[in-house]
Amino acid sequence: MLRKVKQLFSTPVTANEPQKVDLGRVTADGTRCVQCGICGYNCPVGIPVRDYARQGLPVTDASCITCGQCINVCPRGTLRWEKAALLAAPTAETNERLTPGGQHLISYG
Amino acid sequence: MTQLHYLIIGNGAAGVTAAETIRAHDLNGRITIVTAEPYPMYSRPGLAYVILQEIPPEQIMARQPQWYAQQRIELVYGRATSLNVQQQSVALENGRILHYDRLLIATGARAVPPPYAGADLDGVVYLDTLDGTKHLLKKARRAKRAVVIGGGITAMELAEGLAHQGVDTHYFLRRDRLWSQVFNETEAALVADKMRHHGITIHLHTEAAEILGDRRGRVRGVRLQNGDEFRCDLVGVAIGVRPQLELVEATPIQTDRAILVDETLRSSAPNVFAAGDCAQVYDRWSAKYMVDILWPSAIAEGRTAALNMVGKETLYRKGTPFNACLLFGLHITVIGQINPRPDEVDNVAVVQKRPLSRGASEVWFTFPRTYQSAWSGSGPNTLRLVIGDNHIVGALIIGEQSLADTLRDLIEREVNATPLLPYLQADPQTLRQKILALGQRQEGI
Repeated sequence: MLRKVKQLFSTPVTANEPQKVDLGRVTADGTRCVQCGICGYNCPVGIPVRDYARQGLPVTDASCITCGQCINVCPRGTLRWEKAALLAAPTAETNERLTPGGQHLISYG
Repeated sequence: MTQLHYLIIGNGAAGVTAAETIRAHDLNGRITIVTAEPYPMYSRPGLAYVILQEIPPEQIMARQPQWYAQQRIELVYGRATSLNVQQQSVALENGRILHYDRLLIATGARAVPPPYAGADLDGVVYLDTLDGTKHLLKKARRAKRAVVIGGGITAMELAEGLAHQGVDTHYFLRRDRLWSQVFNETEAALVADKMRHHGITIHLHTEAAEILGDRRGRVRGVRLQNGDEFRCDLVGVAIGVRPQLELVEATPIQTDRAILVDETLRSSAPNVFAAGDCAQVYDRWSAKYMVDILWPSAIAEGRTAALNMVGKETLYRKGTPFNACLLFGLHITVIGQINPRPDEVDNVAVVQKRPLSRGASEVWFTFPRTYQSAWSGSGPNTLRLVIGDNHIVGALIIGEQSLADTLRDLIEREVNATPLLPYLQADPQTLRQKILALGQRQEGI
């Protein structure tokens, strides 16, 4: 719990929120998912990300703040950004800005 | 329409995927899953992240009890002990008899105990089941020094987890490098370096001969093959897994190293199917029956078995073996056919007689015709491509993973890689661009 509260105020979440529009949404490659649940455990708003990930579905939960925590913590590279309709594609530059040293984003993009 | 009873023994990736698939195609059927463990489905690969304290044990529950209720799947806690293929029934340990119209055996595999004295001592631990992992965590709290035995991903995860728990961890390797069935020298050295940074001591050419116990039956050390004694109070074992075949032992169902099934996942007995780690599936491309101890294979086999169980004839096509893992902060992806040194013929013959480690596929141990290696620029990044006649048959990527999806696609679809061949020795960025370009060209078609 403490961990989640801390995450809520850690830089990625608060720094990223205003840029929500740039990001599109989080989507999943279901074949990579081993259903470990690290994604949902690290979600600051408590979305059961695993239920989307294991089925290879985009996270369409309205409460998603597109902070990208789930993408960063997934040990299997299951999650990535997806360009949503009418929104700009994330670039290496935006990824880097959002998560400094954001290797994972670029890696699996 | 008569209601069919689908009985599934095993509550892991294959069994639960099968149940879910059956329900999607047969709304009226009765579905029962029998599990010998006291939990709803949990993620076995996730156990590694529990000992790293990335997640608490309860977080690896991949389905909640309500999910079973919503899907109208009855989850029965108990051990299935015998199978009668004539009467189409399974008996549980508590005496209950379950009759089936279609049976799926998805009992998985379990860690193999060490083949020498001391395996039953208090302090021998496995990263295998949730209960085993909880026990491991409890023991690690008081342990001072641990020895880890085994050459694959699970052994390395076990070492990483024990070191993370604050235990002085010593990793014993029989051979001259890490994961010698898959890594070449360069890759092994890179991962070994990370491992040492995590505080783990690696002992090459070191093999245990016996686990020693004290008067109270607790581990007090390990005797090595050279006769030396090495003091420790914990021994982590991950030397391979063995399919759980007890249920079919007294039946006419054909087995080899696991339950032999055809491309529809049918065993030799009518209405009996098998999927996942306990199944040895016919592969038409190699004309062999193959065992995969891989999560994605278990899911795919469970799905195909389910379709055939509901009467939708579907052939299982073994996909390209794929394993992505995170070890010591390094992302590692192994795709397709990987063999560290094409000259290790004898070694491979030996490997195939031994239990497969979790996360392994038999295809990883077959032989490519040619072999190339390349490095990418900065950081601990490597890329190794294994080239067949004119297409890529395998790839191993450590570190930066931007090529992983493209390479999997090129390997899976056996894309002609001739345009790539002149660039195999090129600088990493050029090679990287050529691989991405080849991938994009395929997408356009």
